[in-house]
Amino acid sequence: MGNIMIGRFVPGKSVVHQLDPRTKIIGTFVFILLMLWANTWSTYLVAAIFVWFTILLTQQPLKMYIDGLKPIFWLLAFTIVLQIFFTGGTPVLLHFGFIKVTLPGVINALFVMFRFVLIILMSTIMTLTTPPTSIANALESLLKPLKSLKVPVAEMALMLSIALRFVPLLMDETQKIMNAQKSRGMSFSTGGPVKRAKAIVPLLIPLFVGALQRALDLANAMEVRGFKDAEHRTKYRILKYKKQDYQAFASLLLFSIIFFSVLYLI
Amino acid sequence: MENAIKINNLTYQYQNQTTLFQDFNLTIDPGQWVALVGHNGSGKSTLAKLIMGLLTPTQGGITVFNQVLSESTVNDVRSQIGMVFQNPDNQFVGATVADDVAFGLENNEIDTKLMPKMIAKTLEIVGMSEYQDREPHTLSGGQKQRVALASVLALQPKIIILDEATAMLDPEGRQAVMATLTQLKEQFGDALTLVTITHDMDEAALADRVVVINDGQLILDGTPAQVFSEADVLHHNGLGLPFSGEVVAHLNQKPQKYLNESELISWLSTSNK
Amino acid sequence: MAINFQQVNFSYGAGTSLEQPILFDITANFPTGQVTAVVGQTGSGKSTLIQHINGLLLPTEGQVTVADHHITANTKEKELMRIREKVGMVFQFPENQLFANTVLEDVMYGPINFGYSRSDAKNAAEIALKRLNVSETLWEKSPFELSGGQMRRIAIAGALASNPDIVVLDEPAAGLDPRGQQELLNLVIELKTLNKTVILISHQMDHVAQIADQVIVMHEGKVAAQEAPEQLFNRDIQWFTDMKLDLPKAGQFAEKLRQQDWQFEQRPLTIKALTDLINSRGTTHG
Repeated sequence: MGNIMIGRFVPGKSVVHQLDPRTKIIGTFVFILLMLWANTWSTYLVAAIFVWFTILLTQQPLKMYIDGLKPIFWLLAFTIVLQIFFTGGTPVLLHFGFIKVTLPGVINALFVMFRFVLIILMSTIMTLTTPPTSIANALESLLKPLKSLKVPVAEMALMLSIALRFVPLLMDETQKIMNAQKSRGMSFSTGGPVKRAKAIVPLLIPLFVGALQRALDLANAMEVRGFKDAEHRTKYRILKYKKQDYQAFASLLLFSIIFFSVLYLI
Repeated sequence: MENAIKINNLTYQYQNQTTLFQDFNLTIDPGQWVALVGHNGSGKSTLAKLIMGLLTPTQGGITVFNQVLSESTVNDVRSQIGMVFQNPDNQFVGATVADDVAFGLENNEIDTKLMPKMIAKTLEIVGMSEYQDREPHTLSGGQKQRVALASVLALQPKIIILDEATAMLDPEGRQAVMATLTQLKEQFGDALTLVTITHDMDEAALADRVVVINDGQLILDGTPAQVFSEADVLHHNGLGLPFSGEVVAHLNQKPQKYLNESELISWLSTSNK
Repeated sequence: MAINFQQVNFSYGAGTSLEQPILFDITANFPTGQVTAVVGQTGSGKSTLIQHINGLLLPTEGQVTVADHHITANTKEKELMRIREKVGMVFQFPENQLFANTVLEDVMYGPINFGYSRSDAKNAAEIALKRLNVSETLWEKSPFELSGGQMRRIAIAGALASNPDIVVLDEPAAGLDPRGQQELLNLVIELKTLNKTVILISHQMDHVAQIADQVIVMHEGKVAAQEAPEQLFNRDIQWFTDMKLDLPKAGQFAEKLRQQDWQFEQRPLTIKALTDLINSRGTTHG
């Protein structure tokens, strides 16, 4: 397993961990929207302070978040280069043949980078402090209004939570099959693209066969424990906003006010 | 007397027309602990799936507490039987231990307020209380199987079937599951009928009654003492003896009848001193 | 082909915030023509250890020597391929790795990857299938329509097809019935007579006592013992409790007799040794 932090849950007892998952989803969503608005130095500063403050509240080492940014380094670098080279304007700082590097280009690139990094940090905060199934639960609750449009929200949420529950298992299985086939001489690093694509077949087929078997077993296990459909069930976990959620919403509101004041007044 | 499970002239064919069971009969009384043994592929797991209505017999009938299993009764029958399967990973539905036990309760539309107490109680019975908030991939195989057992117990079944529930476990996990079962049987007594499907004869030795099947045929049926005195028949059907039986087979002076391990130790200590 | 571990340390995610040390200062050797059993409770590092033998994992520090190949943190894929040809790996529930359209194709997969021509690969696969007693009538069938026991044997044949000098088996008997388990033990003994270096991970101490020449006990990522089974299983009973390790059933039975005031010097490890002990008492006293 790599060190991809996005999507990984790390158990803890911090305030952020204890927030209702709906609060965190709404918060992240609002934050991302605001970031699409941000276009001055001071707005990024305000947003960075907000993110930094939230990271402190999660009581997880900062290094964990920095590790989380590493896998997107190349994507980030690519976007920055694009912005630098293809934004016009004056003054021109450098000339390489037909390519010009302009001051607005550099500023734009920095803005895009900040936006990217801050959005990823915020999403990482959410996934790091929220078990995947709570996210599924929260989505079910937030999407409940769609039920009246005949969208099978309960089924989808149950499917999502079961799928999430099997993610670590399937990752483990992938690793095991990979080890077995590597021991039998499988190699991804030799030959042309066709040969490399072909090399993946001995990995994919056992994975699908295994997943299918699991699905059949799971269906049996669910049936014998009285599962009929996703509608006619009670719920063990009922989401309820608590005091800290109202505090979180208040902070979010406060942040938004400061953000817009800075955006339009400074 | 009312039977817990009554299998009457059962015939079952696979889709490819191979017949596994032909006119098979078996009755299990309430409160019995029956070990259903046979080598891999002998049909023992298929039998369990037939009882649960996960497979449909080609002919013949299955009755569970006087209720004939059919399409219209399958949910009622299932509500009386709990089943634990072989693969610990593939029956863990919930995101955490507590959620997994809750899954069956949710299906039966139990009031949310009653759930925490019921979950705590069943987890205590299987000795997994401390693990309530753990996620499945942080548990050992034996622990997952005990959670599976708790999930089943929460629904208060009259019958529990364990389909090779220890086959994929290490000795430690195996022992923990078998110890939990023994203790369950003591606690619930005649209110609980237990069917354990296995090829491990040391596990079978814990039951009140051992039923040996092969190719869908009933080979032996009796108390552990009766069945384990038929060493040749067992070997012929790809099975061994429990350890104490293997020991006795090599002794110069043998006890009169089959003894389990602790009986054998005390017999050796009194007769050979 | 002998294998040597020299002061091997291994961590997952070395150098990141998620670094997780698994193996500590492992020094051990696996002699040619012998069966070495690796035992220890779940999570003690057994599986991590064996994945170093064919370079699926590279040591974070230290070195593994397989015949004249050295595996260190910097060993290249090309070198590892040469080692993998010499090491047959049978993982837990190996039937999960089957993928090809026919049994024969699946077993040929290894040899072809290691550069055999198709006809050589076919020959090699046939030899392996025969060694595993897979009936010729099954060779052209899809592996997915066979029984669990047959799939297991085909998967093992797949690992042995390139005629490796080293064979590693991780709980090969798990989930098999008594007959299937005995067949596997017989295979291990056969491999040994072919002068292969055999490494067997097992939780079943009866199997260990029956076929191992030496035993390596892993405990919390370290080697806690490396010695012959007769020596190991005669250690003090408390040591086994500490290591969360079982004795062979005969040994456990003997310990229960000891509690009934039986006295004996060597702990019996097999049924035969145990019943010899009991019978000898019977004749002197009875």
